[in-house]
Amino acid sequence: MTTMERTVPSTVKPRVTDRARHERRLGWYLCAPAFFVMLAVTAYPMLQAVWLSLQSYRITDPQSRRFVWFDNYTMVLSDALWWRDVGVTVLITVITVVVELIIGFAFAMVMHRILFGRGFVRTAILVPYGIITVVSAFAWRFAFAPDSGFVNSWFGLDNYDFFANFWSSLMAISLSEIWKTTPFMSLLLLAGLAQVPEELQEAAKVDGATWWQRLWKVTVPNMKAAIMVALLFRTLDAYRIFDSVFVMTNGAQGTETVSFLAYRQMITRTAVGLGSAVSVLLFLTVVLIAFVFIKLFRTDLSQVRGDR
Amino acid sequence: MAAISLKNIVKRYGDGYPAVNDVSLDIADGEFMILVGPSGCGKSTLLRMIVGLEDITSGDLSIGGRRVNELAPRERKLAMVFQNYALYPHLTVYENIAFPLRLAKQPDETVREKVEKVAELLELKEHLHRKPSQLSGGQRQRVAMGRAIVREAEAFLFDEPLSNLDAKLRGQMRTEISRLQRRLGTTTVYVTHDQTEAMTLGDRVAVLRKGVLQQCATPRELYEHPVNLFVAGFIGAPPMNLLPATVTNGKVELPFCTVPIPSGIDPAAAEGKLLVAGLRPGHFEDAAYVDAAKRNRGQTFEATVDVTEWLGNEQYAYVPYESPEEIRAQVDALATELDMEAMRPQLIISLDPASRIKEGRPAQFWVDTSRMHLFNPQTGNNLAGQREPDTQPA
Amino acid sequence: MHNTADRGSRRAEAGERFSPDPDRFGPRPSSRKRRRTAILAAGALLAGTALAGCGGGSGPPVLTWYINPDNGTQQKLAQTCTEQANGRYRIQTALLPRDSTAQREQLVRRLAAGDQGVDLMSLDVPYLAEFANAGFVRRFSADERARLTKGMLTGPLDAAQWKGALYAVPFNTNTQLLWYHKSVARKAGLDVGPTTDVTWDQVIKAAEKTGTTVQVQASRYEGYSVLINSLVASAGGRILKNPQAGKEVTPSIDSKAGRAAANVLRTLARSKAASPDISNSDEGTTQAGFLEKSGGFMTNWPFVYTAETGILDGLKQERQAAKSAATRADLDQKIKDQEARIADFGWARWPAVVKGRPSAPPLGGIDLAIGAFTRYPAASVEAVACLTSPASQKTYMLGEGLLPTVESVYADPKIRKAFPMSDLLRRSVDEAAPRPVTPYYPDITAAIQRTWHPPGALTSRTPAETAQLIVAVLHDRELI
Repeated sequence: MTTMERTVPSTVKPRVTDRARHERRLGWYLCAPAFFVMLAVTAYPMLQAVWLSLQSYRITDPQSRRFVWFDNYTMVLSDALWWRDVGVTVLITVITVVVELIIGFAFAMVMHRILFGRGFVRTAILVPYGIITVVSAFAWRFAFAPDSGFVNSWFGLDNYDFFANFWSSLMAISLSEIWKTTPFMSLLLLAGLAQVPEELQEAAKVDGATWWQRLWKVTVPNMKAAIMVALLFRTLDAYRIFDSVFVMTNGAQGTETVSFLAYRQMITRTAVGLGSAVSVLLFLTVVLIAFVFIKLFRTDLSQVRGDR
Repeated sequence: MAAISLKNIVKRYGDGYPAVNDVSLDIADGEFMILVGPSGCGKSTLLRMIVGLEDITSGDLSIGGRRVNELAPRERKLAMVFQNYALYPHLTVYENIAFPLRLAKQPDETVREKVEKVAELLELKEHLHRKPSQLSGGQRQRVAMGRAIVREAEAFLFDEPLSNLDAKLRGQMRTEISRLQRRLGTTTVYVTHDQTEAMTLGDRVAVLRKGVLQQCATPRELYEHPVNLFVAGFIGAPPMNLLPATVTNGKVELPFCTVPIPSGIDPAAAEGKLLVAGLRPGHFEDAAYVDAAKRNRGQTFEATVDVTEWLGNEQYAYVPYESPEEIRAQVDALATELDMEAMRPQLIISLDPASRIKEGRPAQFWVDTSRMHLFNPQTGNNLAGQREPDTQPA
Repeated sequence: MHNTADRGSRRAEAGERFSPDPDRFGPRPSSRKRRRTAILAAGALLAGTALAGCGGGSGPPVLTWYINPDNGTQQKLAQTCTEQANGRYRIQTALLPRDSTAQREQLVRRLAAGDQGVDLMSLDVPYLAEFANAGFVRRFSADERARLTKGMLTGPLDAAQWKGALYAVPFNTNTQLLWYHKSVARKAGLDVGPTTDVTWDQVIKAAEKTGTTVQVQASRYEGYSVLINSLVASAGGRILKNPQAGKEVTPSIDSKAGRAAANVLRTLARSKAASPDISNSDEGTTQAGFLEKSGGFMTNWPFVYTAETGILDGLKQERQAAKSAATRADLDQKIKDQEARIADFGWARWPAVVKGRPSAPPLGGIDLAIGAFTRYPAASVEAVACLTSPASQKTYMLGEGLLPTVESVYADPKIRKAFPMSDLLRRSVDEAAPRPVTPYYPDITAAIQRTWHPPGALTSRTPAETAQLIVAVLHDRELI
């Protein structure tokens, strides 16, 4: 429901006509089911998490449940483990998003320009995105397995255990993520590419631009909105990475991410209060990222082309 | 600055359909050549082949004596102004105009000099810091032209640049373009579907129909000696009246009078045939307003006017007549081709604005029969001698 | 202008005006009938699906037993007890993950949600206190307790209690021995055997002398905590002073005993006798490492012995079934090799830390607990009685190599034949050191693992760090 701007000064109470009132009521009736579902599914768990995060509560020790207000938060924010996990998460996010942006852009260009076998190439590029993350994580875990995986045999690494130390584990996790979500990035970028007017390319060609110059001076500047959307979505998703870490290393070798930390506190340790605090902090971080992105890009998402 | 020469240019698409069918044209250095025709006649395709945005299926294209068929657009040193301006929305006007120079990595000083000179020429100096979205249509058009001019290219190509502007602005911009071209003296190829632009702007005009060049001549030549029905119907507004005519005993029978055969036509060849006669609205007059000196050139007749339109500086009268099926079908087909409605056959007569001819009443009209054209309805050709299509510069 | 809608309403109006039937104001009979049948059909469908959700009332109650992965003997026991139950109940197994921590996690998730489908569970010993305190497992009444735990060893039985009540029946128990190659011990001149007590120093030196390895489980997992706990206990200390205190527990690992334990591990990790992958070693890798040429000594559970005898049995069976003379000859050789290998197997009590003070070997084992939310408590108790009977325990030991909790089984001749070291095992179980019995055990073991890993980085300050970390974690002052 959009709010209408009042053009009447606030001292004058506008008279609401019968028709307007009926319309409003109809609007509420139509929205009500969806609104309540949203409330139940989204708002309630969030509020419960905030409520729990203000308590010290372990399911296996219900007698010692009590209110601690913001102690959980101050503890988490000053804990070395939390910051280490934040560091790992940021590292994974940056690596995967940057690589996906580059590869995704290349794929988008291929999908945009291809003439022969267009359907086949597009499907082939999009297939990884259709696979469930857990399945993909398992597939890559088996691929990197020391004795049975194909990575070791293809590259002649004989029994190198990728999951035995931090950097190689990180590489395996990142590879799985990149393989899985590059198609998503390339889809969003393809949408942006398709909406750059062909005429601009032609004008640039005539003006004397090489392919590379056209890409950087014409195509990319006009795709700012699409690039921003793609980056924003991917960064938010990448920051919340869980499946690949859980399946491949179970958080060992220091590859624990923030969502994994929340899982471990909440479910493994049954420290629901602490786990909720970590979850709320994760949520706030994600909101912060979105906010920073939008400010950074200074792009009005609804403004697509300049020559209106 | 260079001459452009097209020899037997053909553009064929995958399904074998020739969008441009064996077009040969020689554009002299510094000449303003117009390509005109209804939509789908291949004029834009031809232009895009010249600039290099489309491949040439067969034929030779030379710029400045050099064959350029295989060259990329950036190597042909041509500048193009697009129908939708194709301005870069993320750059300011200054940067838009400077864009080709920046691509060529010219130093900032040179760029500034050239851009300011062009901005001066096109009166864009106050808008240099703005973005295209903040400009009006006419201003954007000028920016597009500025971007083309700043390159000091060998030729300018215009692809229907004025069709997105409203009528008044179009008139203004037309004169701007004309003035500019004369000042810079660059070879220009200009594509339009509007025959008014064609007539007013060009040194020579090439009329295209379904990919085939109909006639390439000066505007005057096209107006006074159209080589076929198509060119006759296309050029001139209001369009030429196309009437059924039968030649009997050396006289041409028209729906409302019989006139002698005009000179230049072999009576024997035309005898007994059903032909199409072409008379422009301007070749008629209210009989009362004709000078005595002129009167002998033509013939008077009586007809009932259906509708009159008085426009201040001119007046039109519409006189319906009967037309045989064959001719009517021909004329209707031609009308559809020219993107016009096929309507009932009627004479459009241009009258003196002072004339008081009333609707629904018979009146006396005079027609200048010496200006009449006769066309073969099957081939469409003008019977008045096949003049060579004027592909050479005047 | 009339349209169809108008025409329809006008017809209705006409109907109202001319027909005497008052029902004409509502929908017409035919459409009403159709609507009624539709509603009935929908209702029947819904009811049907709802009823289908309810379990069948007929048939014996099905008890779901969550088992840890083994060689299939638990499954066999389930079948046997089902047959013996004669229709009073049926036992159905559900498999838990391989890793002990993961097993606990699965059970915690279900029980925290009040899952009624968890009837029986094979619970790793240290987690019982947590489950009992949380109300996840059913308490056994005094008289059930008397009936079910008759003749059971005190060590495992103590660990199955919390705050004086019995919450699980020990299903099997386990302890570690020091395994060695007799040939290596001879070469090193080390006097070791089932009745001799050696110290860690002696073992390490012997291994260094012969260029062999001492295999211990020191990966960052529960097995490492087991090792550390036994080292501390063998040195005369305890990890927690008062485990029953729950959250307010006082760690006592920061003591002479703790530092001695750290020292042993540090020495081992830095010596030539350490396995190259010591920081990643678990039961499986140590077993494999011991069987290699460089293997000398190993602390591990008895399954390593049953594994070897199992291989021998398998070879013998193959030999029976062999067709060609070549295969027979080949298998004969293999059997001879395997017998030699088994003959070279030596076992002794788990190494001591302090000379003269007998070691406190690790205590493992599985408890059989009943879920607190089960629908069939009576049937479950009966099932537990059957599954932990001496007969079941004997079957289980022969099948898996885990030790019975009922004393009488140790005297069984079949057991003594299969396990020549059964006396030593029995004694080790009696003097074994259980891990701290506290509801916060997962936090404590995580704290220990975090501070003590990798073994090569241990210092004399490590036990102090552990104590600090334990207190901080339990009071929510640090994340773990």
